[in-house]
Amino acid sequence: MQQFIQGMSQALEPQAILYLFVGTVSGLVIGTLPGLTATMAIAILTPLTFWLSPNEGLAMLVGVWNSAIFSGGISAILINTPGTPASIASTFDGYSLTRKGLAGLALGINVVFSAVGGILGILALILVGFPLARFALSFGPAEYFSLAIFGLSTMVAVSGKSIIKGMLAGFLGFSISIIGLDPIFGSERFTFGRMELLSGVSFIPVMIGLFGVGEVFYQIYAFTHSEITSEKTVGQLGRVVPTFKEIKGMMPVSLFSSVIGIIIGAIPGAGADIAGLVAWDQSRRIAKKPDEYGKGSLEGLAASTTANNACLGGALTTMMSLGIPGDAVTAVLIGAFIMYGVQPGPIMFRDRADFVYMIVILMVLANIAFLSVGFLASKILTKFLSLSQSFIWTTIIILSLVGAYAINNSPFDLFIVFVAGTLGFVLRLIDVPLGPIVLALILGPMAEANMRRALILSRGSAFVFFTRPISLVLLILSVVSILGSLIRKKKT
Amino acid sequence: MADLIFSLTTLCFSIYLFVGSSKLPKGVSNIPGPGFFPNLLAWVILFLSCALLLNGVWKIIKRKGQRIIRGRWKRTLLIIIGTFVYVLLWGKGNFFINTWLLLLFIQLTTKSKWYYALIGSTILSLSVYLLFGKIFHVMLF
Repeated sequence: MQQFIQGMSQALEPQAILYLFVGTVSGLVIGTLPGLTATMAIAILTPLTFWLSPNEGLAMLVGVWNSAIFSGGISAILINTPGTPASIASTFDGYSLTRKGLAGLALGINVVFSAVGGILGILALILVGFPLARFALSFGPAEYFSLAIFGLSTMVAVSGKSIIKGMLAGFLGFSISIIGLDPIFGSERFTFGRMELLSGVSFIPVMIGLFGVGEVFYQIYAFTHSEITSEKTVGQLGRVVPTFKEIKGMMPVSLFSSVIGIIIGAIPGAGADIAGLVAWDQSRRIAKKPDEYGKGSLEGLAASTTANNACLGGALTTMMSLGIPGDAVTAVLIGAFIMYGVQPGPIMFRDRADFVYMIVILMVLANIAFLSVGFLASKILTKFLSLSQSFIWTTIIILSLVGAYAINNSPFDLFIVFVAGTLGFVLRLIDVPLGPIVLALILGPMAEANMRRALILSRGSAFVFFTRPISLVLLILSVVSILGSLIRKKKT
Repeated sequence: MADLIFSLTTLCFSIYLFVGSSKLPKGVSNIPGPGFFPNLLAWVILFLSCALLLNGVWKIIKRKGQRIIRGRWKRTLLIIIGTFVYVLLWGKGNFFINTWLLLLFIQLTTKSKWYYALIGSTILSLSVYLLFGKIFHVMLF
């Protein structure tokens, strides 16, 4: 109880609320602009929070995350272009509603059901997070190694068209993670004699490079003016706030979709985009008018918007209780947590429960924040859709470069951002998923150290990973997720 | 073609990892040393690269090869080089001028109107300078 009060008081500090609001507004703008993802937003803004206390900084990032996922739906509804990948499914019915002259109502549904999904997702974090973390406390080195492999395999299974490319990306991430001092003996590895590399490759510059600079290089390469300008005409919005009867009618679909969103969010690697698509498809089963799906169905829109925000709670549950990122955004968030000296995982629930409660309360506040400004913001943000793409690119590039340098005042980090950015561009060009690289970079030290510890404890026997039940189950699940994905891809 | 390029690059990388890890102690029978994990990674990457290489060759034979998306090579390359020069010149000259030049260069290269580019670069450089240099007290040059 004391820790809950402590967490609540940290979350409710006036400065934290202020930064949460700043984050919410930033997220609303970034999420609305097509091409700017929530991952990119958090990667770029993390260095800006370095000067803030942990509760203020995390309040800002949580605000950005929640509102960016919500506001991705605004451009999906108005111009048929999802602001973030999480809103792909919102284009199906959202844009159809706009064409019917119901753009305002669609935006209102996006606001209400994003908040419903977000709050239900946090409930899942409260209900499942603590028992899961207690269970994970019994894990030994073999289980942790298998958990890292499971996390990576699920991300590989859901990312991109080619499983082999996804796996290669993951192992390349592991290779970057071995740079620096060996975790057991402390010997130097692959440092090229550079002092800066002794503590390993810092993953915040890598993430800024891959998701910020690399993404901009790719957009500069692939962008054609006709893509964006063709459908940028937004007419009258009309009524924005849905009636109580409309909300009540959409509730069954919304609750069903939130469960799907939470489960998909909790699976490492599967993000809000998949949650939205699966929920949109599956919710037809219980919808009152399934035939209207894809033609401007209010239920269809409610399903996708609820699921993509509910997914956040699920992803946060896995990330905070097991230390395994649920998706690319939580992978970047782990970096921010570590920057503040907190390592997500079961030990955090045991030793820093106040911190967990603080995050939970901040998540609730973030949903309340975008719910309260969402209706008005949905109208105002349509103006941002006419912002020059060139100006957006330069803003991202300069914020990425100077932000990465500013964390440690290190020109070397600037160089890492550039290399990671160029690599990210090339890899995107040849369709190699970036998510597994970042995930492996984070999980690499955990995987290696625990693998070697397990081997030392078992006197060199690799059977230790197969004789311990939890470890065996996790490894079987890893194989199943890869094989399942292979079979699915073969069928389609 | 994309698969072929990527697999050949990772194949070379796995060989590099083999060479690099061979210089590190492997450890004794029950205690894996610093070279153990990199060596294991090298084997896995080598195996996966070969699989992707074969897949890439098969796709070329079957004429199902994945094409690299067409885009604007010239302007992207120019911007990458411009960014690299900016990174190289970090700490030399004046932060505001270097930043302003980079931003102006990117905006002009991406076909922004010259007056928009001029105003945009000036506002942005000034904002970044004030935010990081004056508010966050970052040691800019």
